[in-house]
Amino acid sequence: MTDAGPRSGVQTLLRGWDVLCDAATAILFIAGAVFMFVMVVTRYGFAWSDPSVEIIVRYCMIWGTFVGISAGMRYGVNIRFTLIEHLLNDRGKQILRTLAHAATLLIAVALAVSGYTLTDETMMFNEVMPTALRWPVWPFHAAVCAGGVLLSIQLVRSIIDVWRPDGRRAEDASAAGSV
Amino acid sequence: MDIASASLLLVGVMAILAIIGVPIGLALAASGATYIYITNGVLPVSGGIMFSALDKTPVLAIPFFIIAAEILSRGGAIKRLVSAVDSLIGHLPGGLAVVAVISTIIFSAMCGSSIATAAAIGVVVLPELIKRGYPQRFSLGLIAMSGGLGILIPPSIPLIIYGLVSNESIGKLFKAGIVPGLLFGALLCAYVIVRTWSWRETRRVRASFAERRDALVAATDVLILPVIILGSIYGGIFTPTEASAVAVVYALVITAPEYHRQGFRSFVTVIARGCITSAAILVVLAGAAVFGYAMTDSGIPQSLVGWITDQKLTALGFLLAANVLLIFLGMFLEVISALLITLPIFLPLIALMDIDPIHFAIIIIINMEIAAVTPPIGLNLFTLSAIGKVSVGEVFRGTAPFLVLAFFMLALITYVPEISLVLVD
Repeated sequence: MTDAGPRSGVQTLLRGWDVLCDAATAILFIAGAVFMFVMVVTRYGFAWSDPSVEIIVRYCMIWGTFVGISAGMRYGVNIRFTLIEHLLNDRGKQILRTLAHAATLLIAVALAVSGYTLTDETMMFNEVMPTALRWPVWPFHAAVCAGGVLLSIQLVRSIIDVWRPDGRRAEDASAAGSV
Repeated sequence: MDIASASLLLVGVMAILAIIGVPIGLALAASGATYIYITNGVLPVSGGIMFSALDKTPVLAIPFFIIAAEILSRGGAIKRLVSAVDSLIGHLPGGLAVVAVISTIIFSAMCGSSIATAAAIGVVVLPELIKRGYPQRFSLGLIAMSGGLGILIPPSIPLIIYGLVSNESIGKLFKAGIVPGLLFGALLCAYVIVRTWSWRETRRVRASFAERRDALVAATDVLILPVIILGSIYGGIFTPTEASAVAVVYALVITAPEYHRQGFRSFVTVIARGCITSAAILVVLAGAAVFGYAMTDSGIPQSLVGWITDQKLTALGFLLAANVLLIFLGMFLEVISALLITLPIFLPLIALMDIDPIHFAIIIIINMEIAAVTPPIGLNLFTLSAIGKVSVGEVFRGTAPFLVLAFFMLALITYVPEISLVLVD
């Protein structure tokens, strides 16, 4: 009873966090599509277009991609090679998955560091968008760092999940979303 | 770093990470970043390369076409499309099996993905095929193979990626896919008609005029979408990216009543699924850019060009070798990964061999169609296995006869470039 309270609270928080990440990914991509559609309408319907819109759409998609990596990891839709995993027994699967998640965690941390340095440099040189908007570019470059951080958080959770008795996650459905 | 060490480092790190199950996009990025870090001592470059790889307008077409396909397939559009085609030709020899191929061709003109096409058509047609008495194995094989048309008939996501990496016109690549796509579709229809000629019980009763009219009216909005996408691209009205954004909004509009019926939660799930799948594919593109950068920097493609020149290989011999390599890689990698890993090597070689890059793109796509139905990593096999609730082996056994057709098509496309280039020229 005493255990259930805090655990369910954490689980609720994590669930809310997941919903937030999923929603952010969806909103960024759909906003991109709608902005692009509006630009098409104004370009062909009213002979007016602003190149800034195209750049903003691209940045929406880039943010959506980097935020979406962690969601992809959670749903097991990231494209990966699973043949070896299928050949192993349950314990072997657990070990291989832990190894894969640990290696991916290292890459995610490197991605975060690389993204942070990139953002820092862009801020330092005061880089701005090459259109009339002249917005600073660093908030968009920060997507790489954010993606690395979000992915790292997700991977720590995935490693814990692999070793939980009820931790059978959606990873079995690997590569489900690939072309 | 010498070429041998660079090759070992790049391929070795990538292979080890991929084999243990690291997502392919991140494995590619990590191997490229390791090379860059060792040779230049800088890590931040990799994040910048990943960002730049996605910061291109044509890339937008990839998520937009995926999202549009997801919205259409879950929004009842495919059901209406199949009903309309079935009411027109379901009573003819081949019956629903031919309906499945023709519906796939039409859906392929709205969706750029093989697995999405196989899944969308499979969910609607597979239960009906079995209900009408078609053998399960035949039905599974037919849909798994014809799903491959999704990446050949434009719009095609692998062709967009090929255009991005090779700097070829995406519009021209799309044009190049039309004739081979229709030819392969016709080949599948012909085979199905011959194979099912004696299965009269599988044919439906001829639909009445009123039934046909009603089915066509119900599917008109779906049938218009390929016309909007392809007509606007080839009519010079929209770029492929603009057409993809229009496709998303159009798909939202025509499926709105169905999602209203299913509820807001279902709609949000579909959108989120499409967006997260898009992100998973774009990560591979971004990771492959780091890998490609390292590969070019190491000089591996250039030394391969030198080696091939020394071998005095003819263009036809090279194409044969390329096909063997692609089929082998396709057995273990899915389409996008195989494409992005091999292109930095292939592109200088095809320039050396004087092979048309647009023709080569179609050869790669046919190989990837074969890869999608070849074990152990044949994603269409997995998809149909999940839909039909049968083993992957069972689906593959059903696909085997269709694979013969695919290999025939591959030989035809490889050695008769005019089939791919007739509309481009």
